[in-house]
Amino acid sequence: MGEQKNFESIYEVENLTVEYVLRNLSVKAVNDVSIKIRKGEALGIVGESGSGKTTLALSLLNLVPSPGRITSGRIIFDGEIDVLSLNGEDLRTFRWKQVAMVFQGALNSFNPVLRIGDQMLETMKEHGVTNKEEGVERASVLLKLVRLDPERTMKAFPHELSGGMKQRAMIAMSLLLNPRVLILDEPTTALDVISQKYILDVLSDLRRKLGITMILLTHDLAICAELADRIAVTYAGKIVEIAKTEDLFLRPKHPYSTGLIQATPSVLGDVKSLKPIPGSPPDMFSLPTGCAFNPRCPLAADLCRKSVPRLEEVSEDRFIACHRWREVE
Amino acid sequence: MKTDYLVEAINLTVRFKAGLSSLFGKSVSFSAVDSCSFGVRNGEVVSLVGESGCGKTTLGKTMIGLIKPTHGTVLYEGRDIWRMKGKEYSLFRRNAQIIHQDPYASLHPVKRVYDIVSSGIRYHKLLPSENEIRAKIVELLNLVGLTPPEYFMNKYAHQLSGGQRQRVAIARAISLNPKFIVADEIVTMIDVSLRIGILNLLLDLRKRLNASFLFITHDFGVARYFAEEGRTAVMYLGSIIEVGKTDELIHDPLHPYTKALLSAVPVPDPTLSKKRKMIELRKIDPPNPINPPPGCKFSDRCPFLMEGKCDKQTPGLVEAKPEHFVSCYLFES
Repeated sequence: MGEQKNFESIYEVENLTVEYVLRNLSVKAVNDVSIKIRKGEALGIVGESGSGKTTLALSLLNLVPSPGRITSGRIIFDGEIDVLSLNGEDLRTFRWKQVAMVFQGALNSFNPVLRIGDQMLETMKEHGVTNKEEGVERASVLLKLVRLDPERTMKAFPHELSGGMKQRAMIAMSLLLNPRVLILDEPTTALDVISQKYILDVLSDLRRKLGITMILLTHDLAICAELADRIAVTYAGKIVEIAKTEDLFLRPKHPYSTGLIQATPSVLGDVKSLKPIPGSPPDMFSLPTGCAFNPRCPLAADLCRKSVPRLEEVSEDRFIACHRWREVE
Repeated sequence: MKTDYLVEAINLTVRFKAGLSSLFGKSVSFSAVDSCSFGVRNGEVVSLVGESGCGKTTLGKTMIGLIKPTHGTVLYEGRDIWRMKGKEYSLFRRNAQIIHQDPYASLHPVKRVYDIVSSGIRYHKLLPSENEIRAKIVELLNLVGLTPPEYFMNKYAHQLSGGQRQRVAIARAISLNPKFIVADEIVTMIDVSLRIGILNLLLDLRKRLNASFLFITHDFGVARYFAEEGRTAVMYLGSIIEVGKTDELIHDPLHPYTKALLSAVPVPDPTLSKKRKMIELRKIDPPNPINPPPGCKFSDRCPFLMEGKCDKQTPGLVEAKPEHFVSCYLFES
């Protein structure tokens, strides 16, 4: 594929495997995953619950909780930092200054008895911004950026803010140390539809103004359609397809991506008849041999039951892990 | 009383206590459902859409008699359900069923699927012998796609996946051949890839049973899919603010809240979604339901606020177009 655009990667993940060991059982929540995340892009990682997207994101911060263990692979940040070998103070700085994460349900992770402003100032103080005026100034700028009234918000206790306001305050807080990457795990799941749309608007605003790289984890394809430049689809601990957002929706190539798109209802366009993906989600404790999707796949052949397909670049900007992608209509 | 509705809510209000105003203060109450009038016709499918906390579950539960309204009446086949006694009430209970949101909580944890699904049949003594009950359970499990039924009937709920549990809950709900089924957010907790399977199953059963459905959901896309041929009602802070044929309501919404909500729903199509703009509201966040604004409850956020009117008196639900009702002063004749 001679002519390849050279994108600068902010993250290079190579053959990452993360296992959770429970007594004598082990589950590979992330199974031999490789992906290059580009500087300045908004990458959507889509998958159902248990597909490993949160574990993948936690690995990017070297934050996999016990009993999880990163058993193989490398993660290189910005071409030079080996994330998995960071520890102590280096890791602590890396986590706020280079990469920040807004966790799922983060709107409840404020300290309930401290004012929002104090929590923001404390975070900055811990990371070296000791001048209070400078801190207040920085917090105000960011709160304005997420469309909150800085003065009112900084004086407020968390319970005085609505869910959508708390989530926006949390996004402002995650940006305090000017990280280059922002990871958002299901950032709108607990919110009503109008607040959700508002947050998505705020996030695309932030991208335009700050040029920050965003990694968005969600189970909802429609949310990726709103925000992401590229989408990675995960299934049973693996990335099965990576494509530009338009390409994925208009011409999905992996049978699982195709199935997901055909199973998502919409308020626009004709009411097409939707089809479920047959079978049940995979049992991570006993995955089938070969491709993990093969028991549910309409195209599964003998080869699919025997060998695990590798994620390969089949055309520019399109990676697929499927033996039979050419058959997908 | 004559009515063309199978189930009808007339001026229904349900008030709940919401704790104390302060440590030693008076208890505060608020209307989860506020003067709702609304009905479901024979064989009809109605989607009830609204954000969490708008009272849609409370309205659904009140319409099948699980919650007693503070004011107002629920009529089933023209009869007030809270005045029914003995056999008549028992028949109503048989005919009105609910499928709950959370299949992890709605199934008895130490009973087998066989006992869970047969409990209604036993209670109402519909079938005389164990053999007939067993045959009925086999039929029901086949119908909801839990095959082979012999395999599933001896399972406990915890041995099943979320999608399978919801199918058990559906089998239980249809075991008594109900005429009216309330389905409350039944796919919210189900994996995305399985949701459509559950919805298609229910749509298929609806044709077989000819039952009426009240389909409660926060997801406009799902509401549209389920009630494509029926009606959709939109609820906001305890009130029904718009009802109409699903297709018309989605393509030509009248109430500013419905418009805003539809413009904010993410659509799984990047060519459309990146172009769409949300209708700008004067306030993004909904007010506290305990203390809603006076007049129209949407008045504090509405971009079309007419001061001195909308914030003074609540608009009634008027028929702005044939079969299309809206509660907004913009559509007063």
